[in-house]
Amino acid sequence: MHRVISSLMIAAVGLVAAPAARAEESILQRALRDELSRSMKELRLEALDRPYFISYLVREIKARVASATFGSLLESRDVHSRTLHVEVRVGDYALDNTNFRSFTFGGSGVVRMRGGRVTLPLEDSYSQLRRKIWLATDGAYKTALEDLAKKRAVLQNKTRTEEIPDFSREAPATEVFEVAPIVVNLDTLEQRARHLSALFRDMPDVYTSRVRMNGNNTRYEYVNSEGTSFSVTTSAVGFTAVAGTQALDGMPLEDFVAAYARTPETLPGDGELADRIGVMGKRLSALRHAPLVNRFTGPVIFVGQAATELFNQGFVPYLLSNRRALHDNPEYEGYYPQKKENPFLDRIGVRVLPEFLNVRSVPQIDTYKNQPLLGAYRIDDEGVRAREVQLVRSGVLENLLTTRTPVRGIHRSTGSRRGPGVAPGNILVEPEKGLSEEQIRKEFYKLIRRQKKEYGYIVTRMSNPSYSVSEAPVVVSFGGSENGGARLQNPIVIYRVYLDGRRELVRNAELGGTGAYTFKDIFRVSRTHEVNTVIFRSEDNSSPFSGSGRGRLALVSIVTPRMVLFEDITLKPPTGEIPKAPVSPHPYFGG
Amino acid sequence: MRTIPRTVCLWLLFTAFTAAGIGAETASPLLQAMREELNRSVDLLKRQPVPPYFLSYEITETHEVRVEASFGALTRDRETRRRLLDIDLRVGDYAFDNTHPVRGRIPSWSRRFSRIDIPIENDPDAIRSVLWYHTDRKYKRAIEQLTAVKTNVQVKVEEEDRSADFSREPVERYLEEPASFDISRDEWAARLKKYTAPFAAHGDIYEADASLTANISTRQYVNSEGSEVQTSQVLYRLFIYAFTKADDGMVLPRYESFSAIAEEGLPGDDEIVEIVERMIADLQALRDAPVVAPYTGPAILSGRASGVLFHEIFGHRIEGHRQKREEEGQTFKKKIGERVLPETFSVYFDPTTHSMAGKDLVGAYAYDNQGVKARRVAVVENGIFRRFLMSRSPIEGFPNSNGHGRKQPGYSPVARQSNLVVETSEPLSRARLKEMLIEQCRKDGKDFGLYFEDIQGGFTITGRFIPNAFNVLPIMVYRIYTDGREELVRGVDLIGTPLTAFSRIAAADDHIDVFNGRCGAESGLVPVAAVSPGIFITQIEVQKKPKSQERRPILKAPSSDTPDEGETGGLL
Repeated sequence: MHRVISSLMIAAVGLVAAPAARAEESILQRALRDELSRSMKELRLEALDRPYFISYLVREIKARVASATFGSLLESRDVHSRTLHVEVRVGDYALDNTNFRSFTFGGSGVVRMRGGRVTLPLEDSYSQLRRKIWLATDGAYKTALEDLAKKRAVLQNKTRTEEIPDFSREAPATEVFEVAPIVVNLDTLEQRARHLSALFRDMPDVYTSRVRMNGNNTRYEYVNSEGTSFSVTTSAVGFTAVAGTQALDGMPLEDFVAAYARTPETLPGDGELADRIGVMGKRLSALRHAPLVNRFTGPVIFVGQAATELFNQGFVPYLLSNRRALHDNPEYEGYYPQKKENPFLDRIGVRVLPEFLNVRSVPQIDTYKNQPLLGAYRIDDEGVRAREVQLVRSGVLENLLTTRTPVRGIHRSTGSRRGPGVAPGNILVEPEKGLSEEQIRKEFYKLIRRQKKEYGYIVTRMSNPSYSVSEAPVVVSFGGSENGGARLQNPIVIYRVYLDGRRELVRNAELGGTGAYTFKDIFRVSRTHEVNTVIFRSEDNSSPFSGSGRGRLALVSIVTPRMVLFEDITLKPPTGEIPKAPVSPHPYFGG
Repeated sequence: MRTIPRTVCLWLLFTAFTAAGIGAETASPLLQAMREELNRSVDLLKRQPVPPYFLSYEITETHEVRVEASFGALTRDRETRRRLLDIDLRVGDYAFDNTHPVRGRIPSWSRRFSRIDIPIENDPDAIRSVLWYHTDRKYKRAIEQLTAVKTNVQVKVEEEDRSADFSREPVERYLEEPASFDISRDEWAARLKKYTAPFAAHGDIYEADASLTANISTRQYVNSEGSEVQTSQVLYRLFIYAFTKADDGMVLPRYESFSAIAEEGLPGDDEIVEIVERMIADLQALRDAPVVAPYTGPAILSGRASGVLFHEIFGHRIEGHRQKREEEGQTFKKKIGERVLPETFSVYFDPTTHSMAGKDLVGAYAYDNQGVKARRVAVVENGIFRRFLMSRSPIEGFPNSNGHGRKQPGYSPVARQSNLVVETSEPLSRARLKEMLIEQCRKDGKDFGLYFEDIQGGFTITGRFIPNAFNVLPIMVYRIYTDGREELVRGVDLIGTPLTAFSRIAAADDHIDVFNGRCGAESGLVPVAAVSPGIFITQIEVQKKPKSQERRPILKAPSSDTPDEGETGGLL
């Protein structure tokens, strides 16, 4: 079903590119091209700069979502939207209007654009599309002119210690990739959500739960003034179940199940999903009665999902380049603190992992040892082709994932613009020499003995803020913490393992004192691997709204060794106020 | 930063609803589940050291169809159904409970909102599970709050208003059949495209949108005092919006909105097409209209403009709960029994009236969000101020609710407006008002007065920390010269402070008109209406409208001579 036409045009970057129109050009594509070419030729305000670059990205989503609790539907939605993202640059590649934030509200131009974004008609009406594109371009151009003028004024008063270009030069590319749209029946989604959420009616230990099923088809149309264009469709289906309860002493406990696929047929069936929900229910029951973790520093193994989440939450964020924008008002930072600069920008060529680990970004492949990698994509949102990038070689940091916004030391895009900011696709963490799982266990016991301890811990499951009972906004980024560290969530399932092999489930552990440098101290990893797909929220680094739960969701697949052993990790019970257990019993289960 | 306004009420031009069915025989399965879980919770929580003295559940189901078009093309088409749960759980007693205002804390609107989704199906087990889970959380928070407010009362000076925190009200039982609608989204898509297409012929009209919202709001309410209320309201609203820009960059909008309780109540195609033509003509006229400099002088306000003025300067200041919050301006608190308007003026709020002057009123309801029966409240009788709008939060001298405790789902109710009605016992003709205006101009030595024909809304600030002002946002304003000539102008907002503006209201005419809108304040957005005759004010003040500094577009609108083909993507 895949139709792939791709070509790479190695050509001089011309101002106005006029690629031969394809025979089957759609009305939307024609409207985009026509307005692009008119704007590049004619758009100019008096004697001010003309645009040197314009791009249009249209993202059309048709999505269906159903969610349910306790066998009863909470929501059922059918969504269709079409959004145009306009980028207009004035100045030149070295210095343009971007990477700059002015302390003003709203956009510019007749159509005020938030983040250069406008809603397009859902119908392919050439003249109506042109009209919206025209006004959006006009607004983006005026904003660009204002920003460039302000930016130049700010730069006059500043000594720049480093000159980083504002925009990278990339080879033009064209890509057409269409998958057959998936058929998502809302009634079916509803039925499945009802059925799977009803399983919690047999789980008296779960206090609250929610099941969600969704399916969507997305179409991207992109064209820019350098001659790059792409037309890509993708599809995805997803399932999540979240559940929450409290331990006997009142401490909150949460767990989740998530599954993703490209088509409804490849998503696990109801039987398998039901099994996984059942397993989660048993885990929560067991945790409720488990003893509280005690404060501990010593050997810890992360296994399976916990190993992938460890890298996903604690290490991958450091592999994403970010650039702090210049601003024209010192108060700006007070209102909208930008993300901290990624400390890894200064560590290229420096060891960040043990010598036996390599990390590669492989967005261009869609399976790994027969398991699907759902973070795969062909071309990024700036029209840069997805390609393999070696990020860490033998423990030494070689590169970061970048967009066309250059950062200190990296002036080319790795094709990692997904949504408003840089985001990974598929990440492979591979050992040069991994041990067998049996050997890892032996090493673990050896460390326990060497440290004269009675036990160590094994973490088999970690929480992820994208799958929370409270539906709080998800933030996976450099938070405000002083060392600019990515925050690791808490383990859900953790066992105390004694020297004699006895395992004891404990609960409510928090990780203490972990940061980017914790990963350098990985002691051993297994040669077995684990694949996990999670939701990643892509955000614009310098946006005033970064960290506020906006941005765009993307799927990221991460492959890591199945067992990761540390010599010393600190675990501790939670501090602060602990809620009390429910005052009255659950109405359905009684007390 | 103390510049957080207590109340900023924005009147978005949006509209309508009305009550449907008559008495249902028995409580719905949903209401029964709510009642059973409520009784069980109260019984079980009774055994706690600090039991709740009051518990209520309100579930609001919103079934909404929304279709939008812009310049003749469809931009949105969706149907949603959801239910939100609100719980009011109180510990302490009627006199002093956990909701007692905490003084010395910066008010935050975000803290007020909590969104709890509850199943849209009626399985009692699923409904009760959600009720149980959130009741437990709410109870624990109430206990914490009670401790906090007790401490706050001890450390602060004595409060000026020592009335109770919650009023006792009669037990109500009122069950309405859930309403339903049968609406064709395709048909509306075609109609909205037709309405917005004519704007596309004008390159200098930059936005032209039309939307239809059809909405059924079904509320189910139970409380521990024994009340059970189920109401169901249907509303249709059609909204058309377009704007152009003057050469100086000023954005010039025109809005039209229509509300009805039945689809047939909306204007027909022919009428709308005429209205669209008039909007286009008005936009062209506004572009050429002169800009008015800041000015004080006499003015006539149309019924719609006057309705908004009364809503802002008066309505928000007689919302009961504002009289006891120490950070509020309390403009009218000590004015009971005093003359505030000419003797010929009366003002009342009536949520039980469904239409006036040939238009449906969107501020109508049978019961408020605290299960209190709606009723007419006369606030100004023959110029004398009589009483406040009351929720179940009593104030000095007003121990009971008068059915105005309102909110948007997810917020806590406070006293809010319903249908505001301004009446005059001496209606003059519009011509007479104009004569009075000209006489006043001559007396004051002014070349002209102003006539405010249409407005988009307004806002006001009722707190103490920033000046207590109001702002009404006009769209169509005319200069009336002393020789009787009328001239369309642009670029002004009507501003002032409440008591001064009120004291200058002199006369009213016989042109009664209705403004339907949505009012935003600390309990969220609620539909309200304002009905008023045109009024004459001896002196108003206008200030310059904030003006966009953006030029008109650089390039001309793309020519639309390329043929259109309708082709909707078939992705799903």
